[in-house]
Amino acid sequence: MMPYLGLKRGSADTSVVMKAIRKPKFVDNALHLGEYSPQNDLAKKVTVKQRKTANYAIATERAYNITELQDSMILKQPQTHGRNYQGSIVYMGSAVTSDAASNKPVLIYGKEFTDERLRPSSLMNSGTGTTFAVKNMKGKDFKGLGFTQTQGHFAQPIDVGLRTTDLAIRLSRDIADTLTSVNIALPMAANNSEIDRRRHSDSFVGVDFHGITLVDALRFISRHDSRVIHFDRFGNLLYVPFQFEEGSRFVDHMARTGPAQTNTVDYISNRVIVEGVETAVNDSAFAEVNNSEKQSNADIVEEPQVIGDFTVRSNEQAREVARNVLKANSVMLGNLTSAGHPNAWDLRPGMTIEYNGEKKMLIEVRHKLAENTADLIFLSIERGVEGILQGILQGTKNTGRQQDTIQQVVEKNMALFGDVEIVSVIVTHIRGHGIEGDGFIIGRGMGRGVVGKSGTKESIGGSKTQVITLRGE
Amino acid sequence: MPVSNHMRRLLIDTLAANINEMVVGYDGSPATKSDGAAGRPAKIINPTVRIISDTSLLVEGFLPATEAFNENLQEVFIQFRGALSSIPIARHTIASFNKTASNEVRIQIVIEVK
Repeated sequence: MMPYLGLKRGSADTSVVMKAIRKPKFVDNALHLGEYSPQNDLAKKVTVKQRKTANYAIATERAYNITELQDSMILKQPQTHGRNYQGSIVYMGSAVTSDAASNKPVLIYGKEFTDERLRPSSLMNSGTGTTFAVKNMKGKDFKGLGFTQTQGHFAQPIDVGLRTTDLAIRLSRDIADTLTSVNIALPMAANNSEIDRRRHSDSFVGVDFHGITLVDALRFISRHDSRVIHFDRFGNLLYVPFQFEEGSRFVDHMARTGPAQTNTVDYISNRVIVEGVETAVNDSAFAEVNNSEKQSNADIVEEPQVIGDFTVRSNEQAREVARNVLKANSVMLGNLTSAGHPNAWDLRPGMTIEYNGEKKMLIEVRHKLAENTADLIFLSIERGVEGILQGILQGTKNTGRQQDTIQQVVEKNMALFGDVEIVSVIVTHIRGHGIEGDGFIIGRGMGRGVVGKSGTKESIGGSKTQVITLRGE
Repeated sequence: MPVSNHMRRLLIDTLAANINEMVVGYDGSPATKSDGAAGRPAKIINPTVRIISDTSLLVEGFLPATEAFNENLQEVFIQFRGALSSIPIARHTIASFNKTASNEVRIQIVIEVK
């Protein structure tokens, strides 16, 4: 006999089936926004923030409509049933109505083909939708450039990478056995306990360095955090800040038999172009930065080669790299010659010496062994010379894919460098009081009416010596 | 390069407001930019700080005849001393001299923002 059907059918809830409905939570591969802010010289604070539209933009849920125009486009809110909003687009919770708006979209990617990217430029008009200029069209339409979509999401390109100092150490792990050490500071010692201790950077870079030599890779990272690679005399590879100081030898700038003079160099490139990787069909990270101040009283001296840098992924980064290059150029003002230093036979080019209270790097040394003197030539800048010697200008590619500058929207950048020097001079005045009993005596009584020094009291007038004035430097 | 004179004046004002201690000492080792204190301090002087032009200020300290030291004075250091921290401003090595009860010394440091 067939059993009663009700007994055969599973009527009880089993524990493996979830009854509650909740939103999916992605635990792995999630990114959190942490704000990384320096507290003092060495310490950093990380504040992990909740994702809110006010904190940072994420890719949009809806795709916006794109209407193509000549060198520009109109973006409109998507139309759905019962909703026909035609005004300025709304992004990150508010309408985008001005070019200065912080919620201006940075990058658009296609709804269907997400690898098609388009970069909007300045906001031209808002009213019916929002009109953006589109740079670098090269006389083509969107399809011709490779963007076929009519709807797109907004996005924010981000790099997921390592802190540059951590990346430097990670990259050099493979050759760590070959060198004495690889580090981001000198080994701990009593004389570098504070200023030269490990100082981590606060910039992050995520780049595939496969097939790139270590020194090249480090040089590329260094453009993001103003650091330099430094091989010291003991075979340590150090990745250290620009203002790195090594314990150095003191050379008295006054004790010399020859002249000291500065040779200035003025003909240094004052316009550089940095090109990074392609971020959209109409845009590769690109910046042309001018040191306009240098150009104002001389010619425009353009760096003949575009500096290709595959670690640069946005115009901001390109500008930063270009500025660093110009900064290095701006301080490279020539060299200083100081001749006839006695007992300096141990100095070699490349060493850091302390000269006139400043750290300087020797680039040339000529020893006269018969006279026991040495002629020194060093760069007149204080530090960061290594960066220049390592060729901060060198890139790894020169694709010739420069932006056209004819009949389209172009961007010009200017960089100006201010310069302040603080000088301190000491003057000491010493006035002697003569010896005890030297006082000018008036009257006849014994020990009476003494004008001048008496015991430990200060004297007045006559018995004081002339002032000796010593001027320091 | 043209940085505004107003900014220099602001720097001078800021510097002047931040110097409140002068230290004389015995250490004659060469002064460098990374010096953070007097080498061997002998005496703390309360200096007078005066702004003498838009680009320069004068820090003046005085050692009266009552001060006498066993060793020669060879360094002068100025700094800002706050409740929690101090900021070194400048250290100078000077020609060594003997400060006895029978002389007075006036130390003047001119700081100029070029």
